[in-house]
Amino acid sequence: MFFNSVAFSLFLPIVFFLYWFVFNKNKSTQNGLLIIASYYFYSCWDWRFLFLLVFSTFLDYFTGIQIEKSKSNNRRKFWFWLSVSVNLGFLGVFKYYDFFATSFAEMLGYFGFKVSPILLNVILPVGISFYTFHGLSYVIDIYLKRIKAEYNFVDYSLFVSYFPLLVAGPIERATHLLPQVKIKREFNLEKAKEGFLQIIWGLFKKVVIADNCAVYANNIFDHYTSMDSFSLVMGSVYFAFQIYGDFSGYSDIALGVSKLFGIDLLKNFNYPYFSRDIAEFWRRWHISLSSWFRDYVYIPLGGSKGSKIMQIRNVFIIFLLSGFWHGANWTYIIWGAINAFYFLPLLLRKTNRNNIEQKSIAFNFSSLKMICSILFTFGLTCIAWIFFRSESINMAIEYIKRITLFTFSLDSLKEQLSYIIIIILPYFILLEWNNRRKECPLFDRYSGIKAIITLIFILLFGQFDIQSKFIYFQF
Amino acid sequence: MKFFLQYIIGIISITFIVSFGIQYLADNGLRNLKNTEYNDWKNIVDGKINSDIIVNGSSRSLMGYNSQIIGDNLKRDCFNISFNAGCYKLQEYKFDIYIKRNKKPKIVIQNIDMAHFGENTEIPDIAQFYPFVYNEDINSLVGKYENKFNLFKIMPLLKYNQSFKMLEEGIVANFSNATKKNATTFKGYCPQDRVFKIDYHNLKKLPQLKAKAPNEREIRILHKMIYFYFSRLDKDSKLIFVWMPENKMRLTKSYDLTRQTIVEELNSIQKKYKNVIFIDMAYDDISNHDEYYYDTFHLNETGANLFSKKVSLKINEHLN
Repeated sequence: MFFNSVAFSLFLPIVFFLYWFVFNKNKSTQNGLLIIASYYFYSCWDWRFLFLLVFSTFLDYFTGIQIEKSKSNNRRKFWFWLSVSVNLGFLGVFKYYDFFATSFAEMLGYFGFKVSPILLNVILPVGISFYTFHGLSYVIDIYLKRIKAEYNFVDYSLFVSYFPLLVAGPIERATHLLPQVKIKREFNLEKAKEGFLQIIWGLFKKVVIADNCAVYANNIFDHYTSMDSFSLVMGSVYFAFQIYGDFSGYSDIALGVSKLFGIDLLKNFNYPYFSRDIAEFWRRWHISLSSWFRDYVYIPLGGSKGSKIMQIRNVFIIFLLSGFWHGANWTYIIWGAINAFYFLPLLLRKTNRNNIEQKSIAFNFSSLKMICSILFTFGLTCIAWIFFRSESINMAIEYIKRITLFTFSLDSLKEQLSYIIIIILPYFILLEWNNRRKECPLFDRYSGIKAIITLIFILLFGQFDIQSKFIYFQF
Repeated sequence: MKFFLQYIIGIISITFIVSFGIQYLADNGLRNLKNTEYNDWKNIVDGKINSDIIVNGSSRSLMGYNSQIIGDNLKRDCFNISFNAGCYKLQEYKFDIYIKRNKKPKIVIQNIDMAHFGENTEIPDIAQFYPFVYNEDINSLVGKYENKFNLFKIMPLLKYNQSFKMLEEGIVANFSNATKKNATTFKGYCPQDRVFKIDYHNLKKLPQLKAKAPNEREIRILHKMIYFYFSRLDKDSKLIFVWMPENKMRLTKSYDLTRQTIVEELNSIQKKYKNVIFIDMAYDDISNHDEYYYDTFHLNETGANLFSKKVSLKINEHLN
């Protein structure tokens, strides 16, 4: 059940009305309904993987309590590592086993040993990367005594399986979500309004921005050998908007839907393409994953403290892991490595936290410099996206090589630009730019008018014929 | 909660009102945009055509029969209701809509060729019906092939989804003199000012037609069509079947073998019914001139004008 499907447009109002009008006696009934709804939502993808979700929930619930109850350090360690290894084991088997087996066989092949690896060829359970990281953060926090274990199984289950974030995040923290599910939610008009507006904006990003850009991006990447340099540059720009619209659109819908139920989720995107450097980009892009790696990998490794070599090592680890989290393919790892290379100069010059404050734009040199920085950062991310989008490293290199031929034809300009793109992208960029201090561009002033225009744009320009998946579901 | 529901209903209602308003403007503009298929449909469903001669057929007939020339030569008003990419069933549906609102024609020129006997699985060029989603007759026709038309009735602007130029054209037409700059149809006829280019995709279809003689299915359809017109036209009306000039590249032996059984059947029908005429121009001299075609299937404007003159002379001979 996709967020942009007819099924979901029926599912959501039904759950909403049951939640506020039938099951609103206390938090247990509210949570009970949300769990049933979440399990139903997940089973619509593939009911067989529901068992995996339930097992993962049981495991982390049980080990969390055992870690807290254990008197000895060894027992705490045992339960902790049991949870971590089983969680990562599932992820490894379902997501990475085939990749490792193939890569190992290929490596042996270079040395003259012909090996046919036994591949599992299993379908990746949807959302496994997200709910595994969910559970892991909970167990790690208990182990590090940052939080208390949750003894109410219903509340804990909802924390893991809450349907708005179940399949593609944001990756929630127990410290943020659990306190909210432990109290009865009261209807809040302002929050519900925000939720409704955020759903509209998320839908616009997905069906208008992402899906329209996808048509062009897919065409260019699929036929990159016959494209001129201009088209190839446009291909990477379209893909940049496609992946942003797709993933942040999903996140916006998730946040909006959750607000309708009175629950706030972690903000996942903060207008990343307006970043002035790569460090800022990573503070604004997929925030819940970046902060997860920062808190559970980067800081425990020493972060930006210690010798330069240690700092460089830590940066590479976190970026390579981030790339690898996205998928079992070398292209993602290279994408992570490129971002690490982008980030390193900033870290070494200690300028990685230079652009923290939002600045207004004016007619002066400082603003011009800021705009140039934004465009430069966007350009860097577009180059990295080429690796992310390409099917292989060779393809990405060939793609970039062809860009450097600097070929251009007027026909390709006409082909790669359409009136839809000319209308929707400026609307999207201007609205985001003018409202970049807000969580969602549709909030506050003229929200009604902005919502109506956006809805009309969805009707006019939305891609409804293709039932396109959200890109991040595959992760 | 009450206020929230009011808020949602408010936003959605205003969106619908604005969208229906935009849609109304676009629909109205397109319907009144002269020399377009939308305006032709409007005139058909409004009963404003009432021509003595009606030309029916598929795309070949739409682009090949100049109604003005035929009408002038036969000294009667002529209108072309051919259905682009429409096979026999769609042509019959369109004719039914036509006679429901317009007076019965005295003469029907029915173009005939092998493509005529195909079956449409979906409605071709569905956009021509967008300004008419609330028209009962058109709805019953399109509804046979396309379910989403019902959705278009309740969801405003959805029919113009990804068709912004069409929407823009319709809205602008309300504020201009409602004449399309590059007109597409004249009395239903759709001229093609194009030069010849071989359409290999159509030529490739030819071998599939072979070895089907005696074409029982096609002959059955032919008889049904005779019955269809007899049941709808007055007794003194004329039904004229015309086989347009085929481009020489299409006139292969196997094609001719397949065609022959239908030609023979049409000749025998012609003998049987005095108000049925068959004019076979498949091998007319036009066939040998690529400059009269824009592909191996369709005549271009020059070819259509020449053919229309020739065919109207032949019709005149038969009528007198």
